[in-house]
Amino acid sequence: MKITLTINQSPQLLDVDPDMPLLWALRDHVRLTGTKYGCGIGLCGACTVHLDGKPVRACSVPVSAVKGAKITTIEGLSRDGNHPVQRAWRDENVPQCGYCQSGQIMSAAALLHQNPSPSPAQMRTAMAGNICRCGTYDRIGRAVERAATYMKEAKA
Amino acid sequence: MSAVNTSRRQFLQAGAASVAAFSLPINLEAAATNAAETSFAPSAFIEIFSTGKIALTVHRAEMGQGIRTTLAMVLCDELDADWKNVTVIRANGDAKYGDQNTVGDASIFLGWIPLRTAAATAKAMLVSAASRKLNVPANELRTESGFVIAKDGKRLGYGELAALAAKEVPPATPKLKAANEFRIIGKYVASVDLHAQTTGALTFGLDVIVPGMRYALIERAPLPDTKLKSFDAAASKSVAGVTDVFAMESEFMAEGHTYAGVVVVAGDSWSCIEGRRALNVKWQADPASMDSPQIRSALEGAVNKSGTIYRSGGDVDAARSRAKKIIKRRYYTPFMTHAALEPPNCTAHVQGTNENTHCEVWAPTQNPGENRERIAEALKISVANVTVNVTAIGGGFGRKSLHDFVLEAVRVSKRIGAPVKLFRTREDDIRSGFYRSPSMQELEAGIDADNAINFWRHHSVQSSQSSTSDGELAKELAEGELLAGASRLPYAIPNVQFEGTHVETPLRRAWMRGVQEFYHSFAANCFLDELAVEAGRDPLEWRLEMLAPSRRLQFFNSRANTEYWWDTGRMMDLIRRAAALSNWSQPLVWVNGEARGRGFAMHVQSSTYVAMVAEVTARPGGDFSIDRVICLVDCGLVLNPDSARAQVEGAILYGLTSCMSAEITLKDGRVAQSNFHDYAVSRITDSPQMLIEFMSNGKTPTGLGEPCVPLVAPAIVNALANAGLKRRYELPLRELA
Repeated sequence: MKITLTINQSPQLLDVDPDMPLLWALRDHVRLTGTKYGCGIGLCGACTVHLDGKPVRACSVPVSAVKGAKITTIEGLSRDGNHPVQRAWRDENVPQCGYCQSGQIMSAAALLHQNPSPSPAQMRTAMAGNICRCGTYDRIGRAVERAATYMKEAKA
Repeated sequence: MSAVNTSRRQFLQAGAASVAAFSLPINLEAAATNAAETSFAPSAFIEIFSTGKIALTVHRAEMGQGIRTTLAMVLCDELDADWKNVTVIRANGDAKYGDQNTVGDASIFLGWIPLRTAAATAKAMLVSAASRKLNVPANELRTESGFVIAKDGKRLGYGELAALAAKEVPPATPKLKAANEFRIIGKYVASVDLHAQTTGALTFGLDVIVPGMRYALIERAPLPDTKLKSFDAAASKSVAGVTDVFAMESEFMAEGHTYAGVVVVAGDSWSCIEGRRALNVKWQADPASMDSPQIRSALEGAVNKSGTIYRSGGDVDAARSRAKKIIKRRYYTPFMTHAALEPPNCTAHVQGTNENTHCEVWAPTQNPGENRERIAEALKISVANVTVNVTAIGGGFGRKSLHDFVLEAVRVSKRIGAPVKLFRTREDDIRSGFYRSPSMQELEAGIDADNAINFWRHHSVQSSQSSTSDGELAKELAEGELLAGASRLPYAIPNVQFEGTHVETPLRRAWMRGVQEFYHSFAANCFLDELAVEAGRDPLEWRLEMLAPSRRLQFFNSRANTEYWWDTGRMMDLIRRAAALSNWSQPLVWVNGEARGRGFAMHVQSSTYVAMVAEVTARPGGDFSIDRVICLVDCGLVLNPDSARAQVEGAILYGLTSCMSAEITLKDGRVAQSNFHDYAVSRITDSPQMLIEFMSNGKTPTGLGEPCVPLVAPAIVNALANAGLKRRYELPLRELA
């Protein structure tokens, strides 16, 4: 099926099986490999992207369901890689291997967009769907807090 | 992003700021023929260019442990280079880099002195060249941030000296810095890959794209020895995008035993998944196969008998007859698997025929050098015809030091005559991986009239890993499989006996972060804690008594430097610090009437000494929470403090998963688990508060990836008992519904 998707603000014409999960369309066909595969069934969060600003697991959404939606991947989160969440992630030296971090950052950015001042409990709940096998959770918690501060500073 | 052989010129043009450029798998072999830049390469690992840029080739695999950053710090410090001019390159599997297998916490331990020596050699040659050029004696020159500087303030950059330095004679014994001269070592440095890691630009194995590449998945047999009966190739081929469907026989190769399977090749990942679903594979039934209950019975049967004695001292039988009280306990741990978030994968391209066959692979491998040899062996070609490009690695934990995932990709590429990316789904990873062996251990000890331990017997029953690494069935455990956390008991106990028994089990075993020390530390630390309770002794004071006086211990004959013999004085320092930091002598305050408890464990691994205190809250009905984990680490001089701390944080979480939820079982002749719903790993909601401290004694730096992992389970189990809950003898602590 020929389908046009809006990915990181640019239209992409794809010819793929309508049932193909967005994850594989992004990775194999658009060659945006920042969105990672980790489980394929929405349990690990590595493939988190934004659909009209809301976090979704790209492994569990078929391309036919995202026609007309604005899709944002880690590559399109910011123009220069300096989204407040990305900066906070660097300032807390969060990643170890880095494989899960695209998904972590996309989940955190969506959380802060929806709730600019999450409590620690709200933060943990929102980030609980993202697995990090290296165990960077302590730093993720601190980085989300830091990003919230950066975003407030930017607005002030 | 495609995996191309970035030439050295491209790499230099990209510059230090363009992180994405050097996250690509770079083939230095190709670059070496493109020597347009003048450069000074005093070793295989260091190259100083006329532009002032410095390339460090790191031959140890980066899987998140920070080795690229840490070795760059070591180089930069010893060379007095400017940090912003240093670029880090991944070594391919070329033999000139020596052993590249990145396992067992050895990268710093083995590598830091050779790298410093190479850097000091380069620095001496740069100074010597400057001395000649400025006509100033070398001892009147100093170095700083990439410059050689004379007393009158004249400065020559390393870049402008590079060509001249290359003509200098290397010093016979280059002088290394004293610890008080370090400028970068011991300081905070952000990871060299940080920008790429936070923008999705870092290229992991699964992200490699080679022109003309196809994708492949394998439906593997349920067990390593199961044979294929039938499959529906036509149904699979009817799925759009599927191009090839064929059977692949199992192959037993040292460390790379591959399962029998059916390969589905297609134009993209999704077509492979759909094509595989249509296969309808039938396997030959294997009636002899053991499921988990039979495995457990076999382990129990073995522990009921005596094992092979690996170490003994004194007379355990005589001591038993004199003991006032004898305590005997059994501990069980199940199969577990690595579950790195990036499943093993490999992109391979085999071209040509017969002896003119060439093979290039791109893989998230911990072991490129051996991969290369195994590929050459499999294709019956010279190793010179094989190139192994190492990508960023999305977690290794030991799994990616094996060869199966690389060899399978090579076989598929050879068969289809095209480049192919062989990937694994999470289900493939969990069901046909390599596993930490299950263990059944019996510990027995006597307490004498003086309330001291008068004998200690430890029998460890496990499945040897040597069948995986040596390519033949193990008959008994290797000595190292007991030394790993069992027979190296540092306490002064007059009569000891360490026994081991190998029991064959159906799954492949291999190293997993923490290795056999994981279950041995669990049993030994829990048992010692229970003995302390039985004897009415404080577990920390009791340990201190049994470790005094400060002494050095060597448990087996080796040529290892005496510096690495265990030092009970370091253990005592650690225990005293842990007591102070956890306020051990004061009971924990109960909150809302809920019982709180703390537990202690101590362990030495990779010549690193670790102590841990876990604090828990016990709830009515047996539920509990882990409130805080305190971890004290003595790994000698800490080179990269923030990365070192990250390793400890990560080890605590990795150990927590193994303690709380990780269990692989066999049911109906196959692995019952398949994904993160039934093989649960720790999440942010499980992450306890952590207090981590390093002992700063300035001793030789030692390993840090593994030693904290084996402490988590015993510290928690001891804390639960301390909080009044039933003492636990089996892992995992939580059963999934």
